Amino acid sequence: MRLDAESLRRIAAATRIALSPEEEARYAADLRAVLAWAGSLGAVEVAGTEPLLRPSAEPDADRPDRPERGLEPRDALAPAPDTRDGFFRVPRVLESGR
Amino acid sequence: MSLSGLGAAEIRRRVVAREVSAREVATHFLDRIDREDGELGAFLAVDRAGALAAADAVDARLAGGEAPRWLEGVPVAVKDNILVSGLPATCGSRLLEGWTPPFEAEAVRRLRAAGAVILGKTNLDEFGMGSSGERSAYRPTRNPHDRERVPGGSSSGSAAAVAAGLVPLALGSDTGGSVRQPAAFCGVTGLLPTYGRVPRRGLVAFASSLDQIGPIARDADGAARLLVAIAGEDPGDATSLRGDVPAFDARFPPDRFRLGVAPDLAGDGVHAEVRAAFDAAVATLADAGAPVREVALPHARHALPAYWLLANAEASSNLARFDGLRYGRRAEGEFEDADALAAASRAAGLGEEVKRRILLGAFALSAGWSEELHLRAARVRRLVADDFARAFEAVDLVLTPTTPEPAFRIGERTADPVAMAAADRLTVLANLAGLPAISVPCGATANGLPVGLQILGPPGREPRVLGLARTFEAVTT
Repeated sequence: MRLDAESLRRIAAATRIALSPEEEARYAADLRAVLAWAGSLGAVEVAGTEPLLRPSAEPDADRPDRPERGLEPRDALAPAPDTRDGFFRVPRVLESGR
Repeated sequence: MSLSGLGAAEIRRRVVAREVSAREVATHFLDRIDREDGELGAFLAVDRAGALAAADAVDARLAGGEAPRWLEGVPVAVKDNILVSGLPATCGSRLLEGWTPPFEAEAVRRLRAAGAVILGKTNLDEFGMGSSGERSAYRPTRNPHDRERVPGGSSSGSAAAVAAGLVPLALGSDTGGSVRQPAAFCGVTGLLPTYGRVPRRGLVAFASSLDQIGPIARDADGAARLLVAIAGEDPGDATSLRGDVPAFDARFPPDRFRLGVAPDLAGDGVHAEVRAAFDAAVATLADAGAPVREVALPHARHALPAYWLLANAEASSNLARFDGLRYGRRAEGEFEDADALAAASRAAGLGEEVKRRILLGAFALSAGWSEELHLRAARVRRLVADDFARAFEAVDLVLTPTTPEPAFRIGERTADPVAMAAADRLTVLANLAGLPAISVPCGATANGLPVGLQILGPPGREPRVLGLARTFEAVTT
């Protein structure tokens, strides 16, 4: 299963984890080892079996779409590292695919 | 007998009867924590002031003649990935260092409403990712039975605290065994409820189709009492089970349930002394009148790799929110854009194991790989669940050792993630299939390391799981 440093770099970017080149190589090796082990699933006969994505037979519960008081803005902002005028303050947010 | 030796029921009885004050009870356990936890590492935060205030409120209620509540005056510890108002929630991670949550878990709200006294937050493998208690970013937890060995994980602190008599009850969380495996390693009782039985609102999510909050206690009665307090529907958790909660205190005669054991799970990799303790436990139940037969679980040997791909895929999504932008620790310096800041914050704040799992999980979901990795794992999950459904046509409960081996030495497995994961190979079965399962102590190795017996039941059948656990305790005391 091909997982080279380049693939790892793309995954790291997508998951927003900054890695050094040494870390990229190390994690790529770790993932290759785990994927080799998990590759044993390739031998299981799964034809005709639907994926089971959650174990409950019940569908998720709905509740009425009724306005309620939720988290107060000041409580949401209180733990923030940087705020201004009732907003979280961050470096600019760029569109993806820039 | 010292308060530390008492179960939750007896503590409550004495508090309600005013034989001891809730303040005395809380003080006893807080003092014990002060004396012993420096070495053990079970707690990340202890709230003496809050606990004493809650205890005083209990004493005032009882003095005022108010009706006693279900856990009146009983001390409880809460795993640090479950939110408690006013207390930090680090999830064992540096990324959340210094953060206090703005709301509280529903399970914790229910504990307070039942009169429980929350002593503090317990240590864990970071974000629930580990099987030893060595992956906390703060300090490792040690096994009370042998300080050079691990207590198991990820609910390492909760299990160690109960085993060391620092608290009678604790909440943990279990995604692939994180309540049951440390319970087994520490010689206490830990329950994974049916998926949806306990609301997950306020549990920091690791894998949303697998996570459950579960009780850890000295015995089945304690686990059942804690479960009663927290179980039941929650409109704030769309996956919580609707409808009535069954009674968890039923007792059954020893021949009431047909028991299954699975040769597919035996053999390679089960430590000889664990095997011996397990076989003796099964024989004890059989001698007491329980019919025992073999069941086939042909896909069980594929459960662990399937679990690994599914859990970490879900984790890569659930942990995306921890980026230091709105809360938690933010990296210092100037950054080109928010993503660069997030990437630096996560690089600095997340441990190696967490990063490894996020990367693996995202890879398993990535275009070109998701069918072969994530969806294949989900199909194997259905095969495992179907194996159990078939087994439960022939038997009422399935028995396994909780873990293939007893507690290993600190440092022994940290270089080998696959070997570390193997500790969970018998516990992941229940999470994959949504089954309730309990680990109860069933003896020890020659050098005193506890061994756990795991009892699994069909979905919703906690009463019979707890019932057999009680039977086992009764026939072995």
